[in-house]
Amino acid sequence: MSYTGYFRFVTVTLIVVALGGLLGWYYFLQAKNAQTNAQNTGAGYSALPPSFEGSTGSTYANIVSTLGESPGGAASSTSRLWEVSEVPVAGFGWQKGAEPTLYFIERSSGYVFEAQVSGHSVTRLTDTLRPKIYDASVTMDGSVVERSVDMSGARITFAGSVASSSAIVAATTSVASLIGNDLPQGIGTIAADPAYDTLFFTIPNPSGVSIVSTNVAGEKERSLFSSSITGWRLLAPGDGTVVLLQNPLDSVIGYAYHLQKSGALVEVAQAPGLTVLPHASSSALIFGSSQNGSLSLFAQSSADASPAQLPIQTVADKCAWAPGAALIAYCGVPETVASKQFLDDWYKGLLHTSDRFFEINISAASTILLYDPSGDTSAQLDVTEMYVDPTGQYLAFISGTDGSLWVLRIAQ
Amino acid sequence: MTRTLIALFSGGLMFVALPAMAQIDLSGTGDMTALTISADPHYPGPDSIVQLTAESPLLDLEHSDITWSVNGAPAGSGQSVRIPLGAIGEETDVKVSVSGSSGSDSATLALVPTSIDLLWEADSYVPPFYRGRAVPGSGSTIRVLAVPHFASASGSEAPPSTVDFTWKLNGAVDKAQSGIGESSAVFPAAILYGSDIVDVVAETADGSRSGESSVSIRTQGPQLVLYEDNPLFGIMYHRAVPSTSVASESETSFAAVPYFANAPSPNDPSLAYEWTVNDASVSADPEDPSEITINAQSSGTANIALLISSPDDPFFSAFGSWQIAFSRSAVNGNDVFHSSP
Repeated sequence: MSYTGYFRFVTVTLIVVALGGLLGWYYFLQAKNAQTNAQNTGAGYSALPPSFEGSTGSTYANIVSTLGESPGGAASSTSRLWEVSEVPVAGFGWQKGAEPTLYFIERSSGYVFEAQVSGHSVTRLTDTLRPKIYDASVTMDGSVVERSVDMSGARITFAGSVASSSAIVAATTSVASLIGNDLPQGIGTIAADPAYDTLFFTIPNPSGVSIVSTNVAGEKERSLFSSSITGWRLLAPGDGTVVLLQNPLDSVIGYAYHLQKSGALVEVAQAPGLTVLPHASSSALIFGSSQNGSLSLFAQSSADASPAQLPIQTVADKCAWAPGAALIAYCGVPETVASKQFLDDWYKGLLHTSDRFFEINISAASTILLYDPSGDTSAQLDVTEMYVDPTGQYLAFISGTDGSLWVLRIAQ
Repeated sequence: MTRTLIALFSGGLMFVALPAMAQIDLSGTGDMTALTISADPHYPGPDSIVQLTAESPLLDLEHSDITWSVNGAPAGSGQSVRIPLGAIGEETDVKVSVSGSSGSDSATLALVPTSIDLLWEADSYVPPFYRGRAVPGSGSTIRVLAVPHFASASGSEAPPSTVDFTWKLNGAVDKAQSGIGESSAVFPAAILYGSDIVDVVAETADGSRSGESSVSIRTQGPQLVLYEDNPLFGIMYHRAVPSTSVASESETSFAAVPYFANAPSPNDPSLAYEWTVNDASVSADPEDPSEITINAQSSGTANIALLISSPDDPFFSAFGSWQIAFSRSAVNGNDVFHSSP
């Protein structure tokens, strides 16, 4: 073999070896890549990133997905009953305006959502994360109170509102911040007047609690009353006043008072296992009594009128006034009361009821069945918090069974 | 309890104008027949029925004519009558006239219904945002507040700061907590399953209004309730874990809430938690002993039991047990958490 032939042979051999090596390296990398992809897939790295699309946002959709239901509540909606949120809700409130609209607070995130009843649409309004909101309320002008607990178990309270459009003009989405202030730590109970810029709350003092009022910003604090009893529930019906209800206990006399501007207490009701629902623009009152497994509901058209027992068995916590001067109210009424300590067990989450809805004419002390949900949904509706929209067309409520939020059209 | 008012007689004319709730007034001149009117109940409430009885150690009431009038209108005859009262602060003027061979006399009485609301609660533990009332457990303290409704003729109520309160616990006067404006008091709870009777007598400074109220408060044992502590939603206080249930997640945390324990929080050092899962003891997290996390490797049932006690209080004890199926497996399925010792 000549030198040239030998050189060609070596060159070709090197090329073949190099190609073979590259081919082997290629298959080796392919195998390793497949293995890495498999591991990544197993670790969940191949999941698509959140799209941040949709009116409710990905967090809401993810939670709904976790709950095994579809967002929007369409599956369980009927022409009259709409499940606004399957995700547990911490609180809600109707908004002013001609179109029935409500704001609600998602319990897991503290996000504020808007629900347009006419179109059955839900839109997330805020992206300010405030996790694990146990209790919330919303006023008619969109002010929000959110309550949670800190690491030590102490109650913390935030009050604020959705940032105005001018504040989010530079934002690329319509989702805004929830801006506001932390209220003093240790607030026991709080009530946001739905129509006035007023918060009422209890704050510990050395001898018990002080009941104070502020505006939603936490300013203009006024001390209204001091009490050695700390367990009060405050009810702000929407006329700038507040009613104090001692925390109820089944079968034990409870008292409710209208707190005067002078600080004096004017008793509005007393009964065993007392629950009350004051009216916004009058002295009319609905109150309930729970004793030894028996529920009684009473109505008074005015402070001077004698209470009339209504032919339904429920508690005032399950009732709501219709707007306006006509003394009409709506109540969720349990089909059965399966406990001798109904209130205590209900408050502890030990039992839940299946409610039907009744309309009450207070002046006539009469009731009619408004709606029986059993024909439209299999969900167990345990009304825990209910309000009627300002137009009087809809009532919204949270079901204590799972914290879901529902809207019921009143007219058939 | 009855109330006795002394009527004074002078020249056959009745001139007594004693305020309601006054006790005994022997001032005045003239012969004394000691005609009295007793009322039962002693402190009549609003819209109540009160029984009035004429009494006299000197007059032969059994053989006398006795007539009653209420607000000037005839209201019956005889030694006793029952009359209805009005609302709080609404005065009812009663007059009794006696005539007979033993003498004649008359007495008047002004009755003004009052009431005192007696509110109480305990300082025992209930979770944040609990809407019910805390009841006394072993070792806890009871706070009591009296809200008097002592209305004047104009309807205005005497402010509690001007009222003299006398507090009693099981019949014994507590002078240290009594006095003008002392509308609240604090008492230790009775022993477990016992009851305390708290009583308050209140009177305005001028003695024109007075009343009494009492309440029996029973000390209860703690109530142990288990809730899921959800990583998203927090402790699901609205939905207690029933004795038999199904967990939707393979790893689930549970929070035990000792309602009415004499402790400021469930993780208070005064409470001792003894968790067992399928009969095996599980060490509690020292920082958070009221919680337990079950991490099921496969489907099966966890039999969770919890005993809470207090080294400081031998009477404090609460026990609960729950059977929780994971991954939809049937209750009484395989034990997937550990092998029993």
